[in-house]
Amino acid sequence: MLRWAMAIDLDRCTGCQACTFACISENNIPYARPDETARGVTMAWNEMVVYEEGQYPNPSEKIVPRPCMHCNEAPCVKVCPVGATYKREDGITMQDTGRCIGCRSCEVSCPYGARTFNWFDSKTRFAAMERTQNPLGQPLRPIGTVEKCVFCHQRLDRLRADLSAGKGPRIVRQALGKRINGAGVTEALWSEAVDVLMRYYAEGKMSPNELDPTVTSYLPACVTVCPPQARLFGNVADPDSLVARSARDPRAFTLLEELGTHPNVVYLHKG
Amino acid sequence: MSTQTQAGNPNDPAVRALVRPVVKTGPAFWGWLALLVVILAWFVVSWARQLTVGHVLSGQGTRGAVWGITVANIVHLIGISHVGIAISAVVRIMRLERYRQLARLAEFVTLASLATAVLNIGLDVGRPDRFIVNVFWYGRWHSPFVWSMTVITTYFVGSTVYLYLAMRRDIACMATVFPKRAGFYRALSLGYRDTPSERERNERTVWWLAVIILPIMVSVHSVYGLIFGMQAARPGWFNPLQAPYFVLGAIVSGFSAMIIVAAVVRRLFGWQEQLPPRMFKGLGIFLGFVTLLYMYFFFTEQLTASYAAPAREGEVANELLTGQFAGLFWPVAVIGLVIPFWALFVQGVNKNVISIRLTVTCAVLINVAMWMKRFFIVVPSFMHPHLPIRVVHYQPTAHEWGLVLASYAFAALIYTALIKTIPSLELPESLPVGATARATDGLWLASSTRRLLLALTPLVGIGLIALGIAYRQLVPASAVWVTGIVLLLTIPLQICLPTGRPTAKPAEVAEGVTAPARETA
Amino acid sequence: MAFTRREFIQTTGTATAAYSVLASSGCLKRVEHKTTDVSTVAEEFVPGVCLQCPGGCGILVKTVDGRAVKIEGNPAYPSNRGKTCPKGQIGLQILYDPDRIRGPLKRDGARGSGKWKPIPWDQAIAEVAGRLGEVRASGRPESLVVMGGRYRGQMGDLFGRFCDAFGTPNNVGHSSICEDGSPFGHWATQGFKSYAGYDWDNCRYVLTFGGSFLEAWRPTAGNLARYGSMRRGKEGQRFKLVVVDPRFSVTAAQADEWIPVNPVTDGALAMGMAHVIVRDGLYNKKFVEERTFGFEDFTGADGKKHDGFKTVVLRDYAPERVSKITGVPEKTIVRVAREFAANQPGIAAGARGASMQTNGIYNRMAIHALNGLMGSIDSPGGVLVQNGPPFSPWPAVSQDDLAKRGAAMPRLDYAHTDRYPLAGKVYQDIPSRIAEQKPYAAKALILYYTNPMFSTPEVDRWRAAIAKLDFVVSFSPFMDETSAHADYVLPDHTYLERWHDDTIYPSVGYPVWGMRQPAVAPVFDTRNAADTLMAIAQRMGGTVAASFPWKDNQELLRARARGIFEARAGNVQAGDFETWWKTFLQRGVWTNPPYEFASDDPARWKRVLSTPSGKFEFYSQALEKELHHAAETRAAGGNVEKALDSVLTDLGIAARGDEVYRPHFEPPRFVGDKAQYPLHFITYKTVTHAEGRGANTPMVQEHFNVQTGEAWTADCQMNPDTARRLGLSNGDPVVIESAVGAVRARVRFAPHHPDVVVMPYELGHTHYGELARGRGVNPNHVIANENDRLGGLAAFSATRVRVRHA
Repeated sequence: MLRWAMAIDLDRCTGCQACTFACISENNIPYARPDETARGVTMAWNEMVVYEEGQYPNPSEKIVPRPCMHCNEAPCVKVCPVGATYKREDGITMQDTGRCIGCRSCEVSCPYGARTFNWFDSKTRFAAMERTQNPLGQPLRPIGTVEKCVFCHQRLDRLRADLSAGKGPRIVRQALGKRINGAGVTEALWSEAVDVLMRYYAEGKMSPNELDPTVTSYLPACVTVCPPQARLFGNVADPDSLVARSARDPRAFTLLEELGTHPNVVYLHKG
Repeated sequence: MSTQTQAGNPNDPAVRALVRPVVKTGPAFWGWLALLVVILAWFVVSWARQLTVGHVLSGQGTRGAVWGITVANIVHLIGISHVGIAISAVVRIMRLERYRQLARLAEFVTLASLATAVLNIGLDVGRPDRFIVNVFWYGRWHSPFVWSMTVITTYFVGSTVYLYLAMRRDIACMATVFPKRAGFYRALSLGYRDTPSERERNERTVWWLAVIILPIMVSVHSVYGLIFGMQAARPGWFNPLQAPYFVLGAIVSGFSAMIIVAAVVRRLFGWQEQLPPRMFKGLGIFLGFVTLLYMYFFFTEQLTASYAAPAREGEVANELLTGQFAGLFWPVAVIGLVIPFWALFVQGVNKNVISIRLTVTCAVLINVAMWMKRFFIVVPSFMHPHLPIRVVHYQPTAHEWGLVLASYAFAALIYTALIKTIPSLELPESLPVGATARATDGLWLASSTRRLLLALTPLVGIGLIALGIAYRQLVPASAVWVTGIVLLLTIPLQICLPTGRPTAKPAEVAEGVTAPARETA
Repeated sequence: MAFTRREFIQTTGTATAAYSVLASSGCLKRVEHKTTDVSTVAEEFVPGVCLQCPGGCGILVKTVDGRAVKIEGNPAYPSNRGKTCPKGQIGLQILYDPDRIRGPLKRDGARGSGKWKPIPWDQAIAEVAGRLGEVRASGRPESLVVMGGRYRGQMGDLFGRFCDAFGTPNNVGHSSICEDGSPFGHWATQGFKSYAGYDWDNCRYVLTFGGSFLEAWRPTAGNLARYGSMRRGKEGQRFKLVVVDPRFSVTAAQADEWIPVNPVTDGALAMGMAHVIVRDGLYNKKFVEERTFGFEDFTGADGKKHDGFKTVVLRDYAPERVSKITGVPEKTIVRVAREFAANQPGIAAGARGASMQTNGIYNRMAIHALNGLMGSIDSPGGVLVQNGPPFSPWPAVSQDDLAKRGAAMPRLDYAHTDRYPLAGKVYQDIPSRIAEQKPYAAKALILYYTNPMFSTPEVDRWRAAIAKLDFVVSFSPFMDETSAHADYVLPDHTYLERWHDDTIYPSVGYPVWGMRQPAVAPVFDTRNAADTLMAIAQRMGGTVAASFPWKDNQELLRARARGIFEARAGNVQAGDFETWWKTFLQRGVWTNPPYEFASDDPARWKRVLSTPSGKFEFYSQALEKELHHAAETRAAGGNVEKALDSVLTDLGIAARGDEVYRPHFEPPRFVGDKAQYPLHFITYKTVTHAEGRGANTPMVQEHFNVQTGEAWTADCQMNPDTARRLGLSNGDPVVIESAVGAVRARVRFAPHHPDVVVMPYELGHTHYGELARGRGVNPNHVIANENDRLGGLAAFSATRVRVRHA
């Protein structure tokens, strides 16, 4: 059983937006021009949601990073008339922009505002800087379609593919050892591999005495970049994974639980 | 009816009056047509521009109104579309003779506004190049959009069949009334020969069809209510009232639109006699009544939302009552609903007040108010998402307004075309059909074939519907079940097609003597 | 919006093509779930060092067939541990920015007219060398001013070397408008004149004054990472963060406690806390006894009696008095002071808000005194003194007599004179000096990685100044405000295209040396500034050329690296230099952890406490020495006491006697009188944009400020009550006026201290690129050029303003 999930520890989170920027850079997300921003046009898949309360001298402000929740009961999947939005077996809510008709009912149905519509032709944004496009990330989405955070599935799938091809991060190959063979990588191995990488970052195993750059390429971009490692990623169906542990933490909660969307992104309270 | 006095004579002025728009074509018509064409040309160009530049040309945005005035307009048009069937079916079922002449004019409204609604959907979606094909091909049955696609198609085909059968006799008559196009009308009448039995069968079929279509009409507007009502994520939408609320709203906007259209054609074609003031008064009374009902729904909705509601619900409600939309809301509520209702009420209860002008003014006010109400349904919800996401105020752009308004030219074009080709008013029953009808005219079915067809069609139709639902993963589900539904809707046609090769001489037919014995078998 | 013919053709194209593309758009295939295929492209990684801020974090540039496609943090790099801050991610948008300067340019029209002639590199270098030659030929080499900003790695020394060889004393770094107050504070109390490293990992209590730890504080990625580990790193040990700042910053929002303090009174608050700690005897007695000087009353060598720090804080800084000055309730002062003392190891740290003020150095001394009291000096969870890598020494500069004479001239900016006794440079005064042509006329200006016509307080002074210069050269890769007024622009590579080393910004304590290597071939016809400088020097011939014996920067770097290789220590070691160099480049970093705390090693203490007394000084003898030197120069044999008094008067220092050399609260000076200009204008830097080289990157512009959601612009922020009192409502356009200038902006309500108007730096460019131009406003039009004259520091919050509806 495999269900990718993310845990975001608000006690670690600094609200720095590194995740947003890494996401933009990894997934070729076009920018909205000033006049477009003024109309509320934004393309960012990952955003900061700011809860402001109280006032001087005791104001409070909670900055909450908001990727797609990849809900188990995703309203967007329900309302999509053409199945352009669908769940992968591993729980990722995908978007097929080749099929999307751009009715935006998914965008309307998402209580988290996690979906963005291509109000303009993204090519016009890369025209001048086409070289900033990342061929390893998500290809540009066509105009008039809805797009969204896909948990950087391209990185996860690549990990699986590379491992079965005998490539991939050294630490992972060591951890899995002989269990990887020509037969290919099972879901269990795949999720274990992700957890190994996750622990490498979360438990601060990096050392100046060796450098295997590939460790940076397989976890979702936001998780890889997050400076305070507020984000953990993995298979929540595996009770031993870091994510599953966080999900059991007494500080754990999900956004808008009352709407019954059963998100796969878990937050941990501050303090 | 007064028109029956001089019955039988196609050249009787009373008859000519009825078909005036069809037979008379003056410069005014061509001017009007030219105007429509110009507007539509502009429409096509700026729509095409939207396809290349993107919907950023509109005032909508991901952190603002995700849906805007186009969607409000779609809901409004769908609403209007209901009136045709409502009137003609009710007239037929309840035998309301006074409104008989209104029926077909209303059915035309249905066709025109439904088509325009679909056009507006094309404007709203990001990929009009895909949306029809994809929704048929990949339709997911759990999506309210697919439901609405299904019911709209059903409704469209159903009401077309209904409209056709209901006017089949008149079309046949037109062959004599307007010989210039006799061929066209004869072909269109599918060999209708007006034998008593045929007439009787036609009548009965149409009656049943009316009975069947009424619930479909209800379903169309319910589904549109559900598109909003099932969005748990949207404060101000998620609400079990939505379906009936939308149906009622449809009735209100439909009747107000109908009153306006009726008044216009009455004036244009001098149908003072056929569309008498008392009819307008009657319509006014009904409109007033449904408006009152609507205001009641409106009130309960606002009350629930503002009284101890979940935070966001309250905020959305207050946006209307006191917030950024209050400036629009109150004029709409007072000038658009309360006052017209009051006026119509006064006229209704007052024996000697019969004013078309008054009724029409009220209708116009109410219709505009209903459009605004759709805007109030669609937009404010976006201003208060559940998460404290920063949203910007929605300001429709000129481009957006242009497209929405220009799309009405399309509706006008369709309506004009219908009025121009088909007798919009019923011709007197006494008017002979077969006078020039040759026996060889039209199609006919061997009764055995018909029996076979009538047995198979339901089987295949229902089979397809079942297949589409049961094997939705394997087949283009919605395409399949919609085909099934359309197939079922051909049954009335099959029933009404003439049976057996006509052998009787025209004369006989004209006298309405029953055709060969085979028929009764 | 007009509908162009071109659009029409596209349009009709789409319209007709619409249905023919259905197949390609996947509509007619009944594929259930189409997902993007796993990319099989092979990528490479080139280690480098980020340069979005001086923090210098290790990065990995992911490249695909010669194209940089993504930047990740380098896990081998000790400061950022494989992470980057948001700025780290914008590198590609800088590298591939279409508005970059595409090759050497020569002015072709009036200065600043924006007319340029592209010229080949050889010509550019020849001509610049020629013009510089003329400056020397004129016999007044000191009339060359070199303004340098982000000197990383060898660049500072390289330009310094150029100045020495050329013969000008005027090598003006930008740290006097950056954060020099802290180094001076450390120098006065602890003897090291640089930023301090901090052992965050083991720290349990952080008390920050006038700085936003989670925004512009450096090294950003490192600090953000440490924040995480301090919060949740150790089971059951969650550090406490207390933020002293009139502005409700992101850090204040994330902190456990925000103390809104009256502007520029941080020093008083620190002294008040010291009072409580001393009064309640909570300080680290062992450390204070063994390793501090001037805590107890003492008698000087001359037999003079001096009050100790203890006596003074107890006498002058009782909470009630401090509360009056700072506006912080007594209870809070006492409580926080006790918490701080009770939760050691703890760190009291400060940044621009405290240190770049008219009383900046004294504020920082006061804040640092708290660390002295608690003995968190060079101890786990305390303040560290950064070690540098063991480079091989530079060969001596060869100077001809002209150079010797020129280099011996007084500096243009009066640094290290009785005007600015401690200053090493006074960047913000340069425009005035150039305009006045005093003490002497400046003729030529070289700019490296700095943009004075944008970033100097009272920036409009430059209009007059720039006209006085005969010759301006810029190395900037972007056409910034100053480069736009240059005669020659010799565009540098970006940091992803060049050889450029980086010695870590003071943080982890142990030495770290990183290397930027060309991750991709130069995108445009640019050239490494170091190489260009060498080429110019060599072209000039004579001793100037002789001082630059290297082929190019890489050769220089290898030469400097030899020392490290020979040290045979740290994470990279090898038998021969080539192997060492290869491994070093492959990892992108040389480092030698762990940090060795002084503990009981006298030698280490000597390095850490390099004051005259060899102790942590609550009475700064170094400061005393410098000020007496200044006084003596001024007295010129006359009465030193009198001279000292006049010096202090000129410095705007109210204190007299011992107080001058002790941490104390020096009342701040302000420009603009309170009646006319009731509000304090304070600036900040957002995490996405601190250090401001991202103004032309869409990513930064669109996500400029997470707190306010500002995109593509920056508003000024005010406390709602204050604003309403001025008849302003949220979003109103306003004019902010100071004694020196005015700017227009929108006002945005935020729960800041009621007396302040807050505005971010970074925006308000008139040049720099399509996206940067005309977005937001530049606060430097409002900020007056007032200084902490003691150290020649720009005082950024010394300007009073008034705000009115526009």
